[in-house]
Amino acid sequence: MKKNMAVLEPVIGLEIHLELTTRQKMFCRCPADHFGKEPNTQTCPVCLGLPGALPYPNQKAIEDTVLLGLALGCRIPKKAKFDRKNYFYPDLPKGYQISQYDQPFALGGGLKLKIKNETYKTIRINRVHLEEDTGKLVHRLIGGRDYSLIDFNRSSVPLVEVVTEPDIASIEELIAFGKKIHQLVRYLGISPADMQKGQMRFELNLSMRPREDRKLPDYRVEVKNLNSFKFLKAAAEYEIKRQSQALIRGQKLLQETRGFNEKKMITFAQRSKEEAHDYRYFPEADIPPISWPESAIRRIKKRLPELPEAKQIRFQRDFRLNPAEAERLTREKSRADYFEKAAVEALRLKLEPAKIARAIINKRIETAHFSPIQLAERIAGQQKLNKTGRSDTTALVEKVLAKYPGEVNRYREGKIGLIQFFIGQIMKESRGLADPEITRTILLKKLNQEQNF
Amino acid sequence: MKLNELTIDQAQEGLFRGDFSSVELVRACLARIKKADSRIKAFITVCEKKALNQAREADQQLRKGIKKRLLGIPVAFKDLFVTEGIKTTAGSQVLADFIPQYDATVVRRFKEAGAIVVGKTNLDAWGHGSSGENSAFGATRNPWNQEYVPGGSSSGSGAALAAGMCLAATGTDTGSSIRLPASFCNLVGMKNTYGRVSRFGVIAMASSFDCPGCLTKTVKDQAAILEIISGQDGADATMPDQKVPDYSRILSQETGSLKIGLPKEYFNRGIDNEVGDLVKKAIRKIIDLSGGEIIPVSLPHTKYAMPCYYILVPSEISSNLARYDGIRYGRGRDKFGDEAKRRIMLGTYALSAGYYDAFYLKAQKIRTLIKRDFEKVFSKVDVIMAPTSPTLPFKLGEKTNDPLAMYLSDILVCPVNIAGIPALNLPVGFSKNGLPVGMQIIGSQFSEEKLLRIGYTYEQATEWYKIKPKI
Amino acid sequence: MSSKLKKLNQKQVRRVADLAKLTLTAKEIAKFTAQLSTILDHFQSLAEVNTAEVESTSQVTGLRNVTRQDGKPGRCLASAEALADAPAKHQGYFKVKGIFEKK
Repeated sequence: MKKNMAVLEPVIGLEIHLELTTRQKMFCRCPADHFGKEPNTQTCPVCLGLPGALPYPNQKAIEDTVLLGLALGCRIPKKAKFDRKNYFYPDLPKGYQISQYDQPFALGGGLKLKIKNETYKTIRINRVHLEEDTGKLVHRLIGGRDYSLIDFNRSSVPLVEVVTEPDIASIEELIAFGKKIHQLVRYLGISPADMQKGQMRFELNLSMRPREDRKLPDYRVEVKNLNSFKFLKAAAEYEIKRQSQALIRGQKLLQETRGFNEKKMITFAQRSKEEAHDYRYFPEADIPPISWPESAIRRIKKRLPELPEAKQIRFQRDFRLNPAEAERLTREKSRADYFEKAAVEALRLKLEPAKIARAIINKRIETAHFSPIQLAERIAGQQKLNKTGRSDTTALVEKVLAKYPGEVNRYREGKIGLIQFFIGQIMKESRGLADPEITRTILLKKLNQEQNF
Repeated sequence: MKLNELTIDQAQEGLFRGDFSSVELVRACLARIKKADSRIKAFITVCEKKALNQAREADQQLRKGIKKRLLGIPVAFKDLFVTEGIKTTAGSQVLADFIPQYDATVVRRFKEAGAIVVGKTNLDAWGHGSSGENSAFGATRNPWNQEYVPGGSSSGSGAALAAGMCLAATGTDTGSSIRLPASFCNLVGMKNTYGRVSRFGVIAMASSFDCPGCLTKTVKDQAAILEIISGQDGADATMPDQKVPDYSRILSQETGSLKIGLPKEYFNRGIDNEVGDLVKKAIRKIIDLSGGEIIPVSLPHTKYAMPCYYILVPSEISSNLARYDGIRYGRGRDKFGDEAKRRIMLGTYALSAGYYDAFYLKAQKIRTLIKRDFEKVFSKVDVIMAPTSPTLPFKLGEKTNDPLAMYLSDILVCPVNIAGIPALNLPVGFSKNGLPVGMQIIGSQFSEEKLLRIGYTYEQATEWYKIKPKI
Repeated sequence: MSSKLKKLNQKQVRRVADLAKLTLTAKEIAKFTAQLSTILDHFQSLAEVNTAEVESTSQVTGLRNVTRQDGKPGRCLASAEALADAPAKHQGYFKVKGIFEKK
């Protein structure tokens, strides 16, 4: 056994691959939305790599990439270009991928993570670049033999790559970072980042070093194509364990790329001999370079929405929410926007916005049925309604039943499902102020009476 | 004169007047193909049925008085232009059965103008070559003397047009490949400004060098076709927003007195005496007709043009030919011929780790210097003139054992591609042995009008196109 | 250019052929090594030129910022068209022998 080795710590870098939701693909006009489509039904000469075809870049994909770079605090260099990354693989139709090498759209930057109650850490971003996605390979046994089947619907869909510096120091930080990026791209509206649809994928880079060591280890293990947080965590945990054990045993670890077995939740060595790839990058001659005027960067910057952290601070200040409530409500931008509208109306009605917050968080009210204003009015009104009680509701029920005699008849003839229709109409009439349970009770009573109204 | 020996201009006149039909015109071309092409090998694919059907349709339209720009005119496409439903081979076994699913922009524009597609012409495979001998489908022969090469790589287009098998034939010029066959076959051929004509649907050789264009019998025909095929198409991102002038109408305008630059580096080369004499005679003739003077100029980086070209072009080739992996189409990479393999490897090497700076990057910088040389010269002169080839057409087999010798013959033509500027080849006469000689007029970017005007003036006075080879 | 680049050897040619996915016979490797060496010798002259302050040209047109607006998707090939020239296909997919190595 080796003499006492210092405690080892992980050194982690993350690469995130993100499919942008543009309408058209990156270099051609085929639809970019490819999930679940029949194979090879969304291709054209360009994304199929037919002889003579040429690329033509998508403006929105470029701007979305810059937007992400700006949101990550990156520098947007004045000059950028596309390069060819040359290698052979069946899912790569041209035998090269149009990507970015030495002049990407965004450089530097960082993302602040909250790691403990009041401690923050910035994970530095190395670069954000734009490239085209490849086709998809599926493996099949046909007539007893192994084949790979290729679908090019995904070929040339815009793909953004975010690369961090190896600043991530633990599994907690890794997952927190991944989730933060996930939240950010959804906030920016550039991708729903649905991992089940493969819209966001991770590539893990992990090595181990002694805790006092500040130098970067001389090797790095890559694990590609991790498409869920669960797999990312499992791969990282497995690698930490595997590499630690090897190092303790005195083994020297080499640069390597490993696969991930989703069933066994472990990484494995790849069969092919590890040879450094020579991608022979050179400038893409079919696409003129990009040179940003100041005005263009300013215009894209205007698209930046208020980001979660800033929104949380503002919600706490303006709506007197506690940090936990503010965090819950700002997780998704659509929910935050909904809350904010309701909260503003609440203030107008002299209602504490915190009540709205709690109603939404505790799911006491089905927010899907109400607009933010209706929600605010309802919660404010419930306070009032509780005092006035059933008589107002009864009046509303009678009004609605009088309006729809035909439906009342059909209900009494057996179409009892129409009760939902009546409830809906009453809710509409009351602008959401009626209580659904009380309404239902009164309705049933009225409907089951023979005469009346 | 036989119908297939007419120029486009003459044929259109006859068709519109009703002197003859498009079917008769196309039949004349097909007859010539039947008679001579088993020896000349100008065509890889002949579309006899399709062409006659198209001709019949054209005749219907002509009777209705429809006046499309190329209605009923039989044309051929170099087999690098993808043609929907018509086999496109690039002259290689790799694509021996490839039937494209779409048309190149240039093809589409010819068709929209009413042209009849006679067939796909032979070429040095993938555009790699200057003689026509690198084809997987047999070497093309020069109709002027069938022991000689027609020049390449648009060898079949040059031969087909010269032999009267069509009235126009498209080509691509990456290092010489329109001008050289034009020069060796007594034809007009222009390498346009890079970005003048869309490359969409043209099987790529070197992306930053390829210039699709056309070979024609006369300058007037060249102008007419340039109008049709030039201009942005929304599919090729390397085309500047440059208006397409009315090239035909400006032809007969005065050129005015010309400052003609003669680069000493071009004329110091080992230029064949007969070639030199004919070119000098032509230059003097132009001065007689337009007024002007010769100004000796220098393009000091000319001697670096060949290595610059043969690093950059194979580098782009190595990448552009990577798509031929035999999965979506084609027969696979072991079907590449020697020249293709050589260029792919040269390019792969030049781009590979450790060599990129010394080769590729260095050549890109030399490219800037060569481009600047031309810009400096064009601030002093209107055009540059020089022979297209330093030698007369050579015999088949004469240069095939020495790839380097073949590369070196590009020295007068490839600088123009490096700089992305236009150059027009004009026939200027014949050698003692009856072999054609051509001269190139080189201009600054997008100066095609000037070149055509000068060419037209010279052509009107000399009419070399009226001489035909005996088939 | 340093002298290490002067003579191309067969090992280098084999590696280049691998990178370019070309299968060469031993005879071809020998032939190409000789031919490529001769050609490369000719490139030595480039080293004479001082290019320290010179920018490289990868776009002779001087064009910048050519992009297209993202919009309604255009017409795609039908899957039969896309697969029309495929040497091997299966149920709408392109087919190749089983690949197990990740790229």
